[in-house]
Amino acid sequence: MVKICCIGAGYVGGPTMAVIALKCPAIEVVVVDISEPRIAGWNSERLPIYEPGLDDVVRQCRGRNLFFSTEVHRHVGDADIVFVSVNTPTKTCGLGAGKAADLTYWESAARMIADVSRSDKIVVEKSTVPVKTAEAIEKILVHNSRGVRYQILSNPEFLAEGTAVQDLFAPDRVLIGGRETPEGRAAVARLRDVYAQWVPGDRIITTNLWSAELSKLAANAFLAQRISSVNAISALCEATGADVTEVAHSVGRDARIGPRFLSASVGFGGSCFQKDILNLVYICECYGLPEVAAYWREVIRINDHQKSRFVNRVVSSMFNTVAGKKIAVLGFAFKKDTGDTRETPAIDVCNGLLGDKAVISIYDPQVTGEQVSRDLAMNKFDWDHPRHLQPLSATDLAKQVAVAPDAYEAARDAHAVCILTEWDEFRTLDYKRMFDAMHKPAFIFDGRNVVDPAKLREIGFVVYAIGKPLDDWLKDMPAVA
Amino acid sequence: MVKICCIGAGYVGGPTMAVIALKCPDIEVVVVDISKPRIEAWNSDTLPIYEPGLDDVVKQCRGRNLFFSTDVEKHVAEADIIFVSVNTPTKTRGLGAGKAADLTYWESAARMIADVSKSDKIVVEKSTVPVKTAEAIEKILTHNSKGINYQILSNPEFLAEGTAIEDLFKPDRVLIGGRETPEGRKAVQVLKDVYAHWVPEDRILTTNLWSAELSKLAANAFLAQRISSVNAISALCEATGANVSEVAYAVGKDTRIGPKFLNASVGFGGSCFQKDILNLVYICECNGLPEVANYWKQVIRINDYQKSRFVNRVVASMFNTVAGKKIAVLGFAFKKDTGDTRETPAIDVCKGLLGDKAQISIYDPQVTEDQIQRDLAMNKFDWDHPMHLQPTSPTAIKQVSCVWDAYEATKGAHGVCILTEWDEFKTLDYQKIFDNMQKPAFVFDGRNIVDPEKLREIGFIVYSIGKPLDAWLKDMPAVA
Repeated sequence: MVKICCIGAGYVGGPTMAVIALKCPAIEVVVVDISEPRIAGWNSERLPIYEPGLDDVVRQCRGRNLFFSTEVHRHVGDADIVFVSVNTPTKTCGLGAGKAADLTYWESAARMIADVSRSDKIVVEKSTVPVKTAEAIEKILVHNSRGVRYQILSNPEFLAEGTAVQDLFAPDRVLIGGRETPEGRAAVARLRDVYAQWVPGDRIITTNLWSAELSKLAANAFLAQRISSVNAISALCEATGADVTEVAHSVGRDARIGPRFLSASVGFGGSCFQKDILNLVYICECYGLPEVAAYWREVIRINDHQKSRFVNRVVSSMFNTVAGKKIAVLGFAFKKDTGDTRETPAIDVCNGLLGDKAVISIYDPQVTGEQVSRDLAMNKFDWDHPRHLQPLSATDLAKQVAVAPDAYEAARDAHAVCILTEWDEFRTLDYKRMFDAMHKPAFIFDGRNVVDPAKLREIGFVVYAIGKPLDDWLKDMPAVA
Repeated sequence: MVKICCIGAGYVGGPTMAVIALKCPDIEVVVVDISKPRIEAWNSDTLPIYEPGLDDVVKQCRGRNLFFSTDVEKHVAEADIIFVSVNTPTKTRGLGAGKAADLTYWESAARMIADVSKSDKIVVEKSTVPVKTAEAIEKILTHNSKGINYQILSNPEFLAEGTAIEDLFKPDRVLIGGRETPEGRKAVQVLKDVYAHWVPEDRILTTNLWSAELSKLAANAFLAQRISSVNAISALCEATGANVSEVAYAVGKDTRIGPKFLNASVGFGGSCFQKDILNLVYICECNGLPEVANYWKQVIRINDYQKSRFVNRVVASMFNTVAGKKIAVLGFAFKKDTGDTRETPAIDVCKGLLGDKAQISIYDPQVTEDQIQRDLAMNKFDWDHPMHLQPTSPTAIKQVSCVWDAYEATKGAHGVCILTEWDEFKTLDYQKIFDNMQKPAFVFDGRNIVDPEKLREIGFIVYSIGKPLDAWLKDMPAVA
């Protein structure tokens, strides 16, 4: 029986291993983590991660060929294939702070593997790493090998939060990178055989090790760039009277461009996009490619600009003052159908409004009040450290921020409503009822283009929708940085 | 009988009107231009523009319902629909120099239309214009209208040079923008009915006027950005040992990104990409959006960087000196299957090498020697003025020769630069080429069309964009 062990029971390791266990009943899969609460969560009825379909997959395999354990050393020692799926947070101090990936957890995982191994192993990079990390890991393993042979493979994940299980069942591609040696090729074939049990052969791509490492960063950079590009166009649409939905639809009809990821919004979030681009920027700087670094940095800059622009629009529309005014925030997750708030634009928008002393009432169908409080108290990139290292919630935030049980409660007595996540339920709210309970003039700032501006204007709202021709009220009160 | 008149017989107006005439036999189409030689060429057996399939389309309709004439005023006056397809060159001086579109030709076309019109007309913007140009044109027409009603529509073209006819026969989309008034909607419908003769209705998109104007610029900016992005990645691949073809393939397999326009190269060219992005940058600056302007400017910067990087690689590889050395350039057109050299990266690469006093021998199966000499003598953006306003008889550059085949170009050369992905360059006898070159012999593949391994076996030192570097190249790093 082939044994797989995955170090790291987070958003990547958990779902991936669950699907492998489901599709490969002949393989024993153990997910290990040093976090006792997290492992206990995986072994309970309430999984620590919400993803549609995940509950069902885990329930079918857990106890059969899928196990979650804190006995890291034992299971790593027993495994034939070890996936390393630990956090690679962005450094917050020292060389490369704010951009470079902190490989502390990766390095300690490699050293632990070397310590406990008694038989040859394939070690698979699953979490996102800078290019050439495999080389560093290889050196650590080789220099501590005591006769055991290791093959390092890169097998980056391409999951989108919210559709992780679906993406794992029918992936666009599975990418496996390895050394171009006979031993490297044999290891690649071994991992390929695992995926081939449910993924068609033509979707399993094999490359050299560095191409695989770079492909993950590049794919995320390309996706984020599409969003920043349409967001950049949205600003120009507001200035000229064009409609970004019309422009994006026309652009997307070009088969060479394609229609996906062309929805303008208040900004992209998620644990991958900003982090991977900053990582890419740092790698370019390290390799003496400042022109390339500057190019990719612009994707982040536009994203920051879009969030700032949105906040400026809110404040300037309300006579340049929101101090003491209640503003409802609908949606806190970085996108719909997930409880994930990492790098969500809602954090920056809320912090921007809090900076102007607004009183915020937040409603999100999936995100807990505790998570909201933690996010608004945290420094950037703290979220990528294990839970027990994150700072405690700040109590002073409680005065300005409340979490509401539903959208109507959030909007009661508010001056404005900011829609920051495209949850389906926000499309079908009774906005007339909402309008009646708000201060006048009542504003809607739609950061996801989920509402019909014309209908809301009939009700009496002043409406701002990203990239759409501006309401007269907004034209008369232009936002300036 | 509906009458269409198109002002401007260039790359856009000519093929578009020919296809409309072919598909709509009951519409009379006249293409007019003030350039007599150009109109004569359209009426001759050698058309002034080469596009696969164009000859056949024109021959079927010319004299039947497709006409080419210099009698501009007569045909404009008689037309129901007027397409304006004049040049909008980039300004070379004054406000917005190097970025803004010069609307001189557009404005004079509008004034002429107002002067000669005796009946209501639909005026269609076909050439690429800055956002809100329709408003300016509308003002000119309205203030000189003498009671005639004009409806301005935007109907940008999305042709790719080399596949223009194919793109016109089966477009991804036809975009028509108009004012959201009853009269505007009616005019949109008239034009929609023309295209509906052969384009399925679900591919005919209608938007407001400004969205249509912006969509053309945005689409080209998105396409150019894809190329600059994969080119940016190619530089990192060379530095890390990754392979840009592998990375691009993996990235392109993501259906949200798609696989097209992810071929790394020495740089993009063509009359549209750089010009439209610079135009977009200028519009952003005029609308007080410096962050957005800077964002799109980066697409151009990476393109310039990619060309510079390529030249630096050539010079650095040959002991930092190419003075007096013969270097073969294979391919001068900005892409294969066209004779179009506008903004071709070959111009910048050749000028870079000439700056280092190299001797260049150029072969391209489609581009004429006259065009090459003119391109290397011209200032930037001169190409976008009508031919009779372009500089005449430039002095031939002594360091440059144009030859009739690849083997002649490479004879006695130190390096071969492949700058256009012509199919014939994939199947050349590289052993024969190698035997006739100075040693060490270099191939610099700016289009990734050769197999580096095979060429290395022959004895070449090979540089391919975005591929792991040859040992020789690693030892002689290019520095800006």
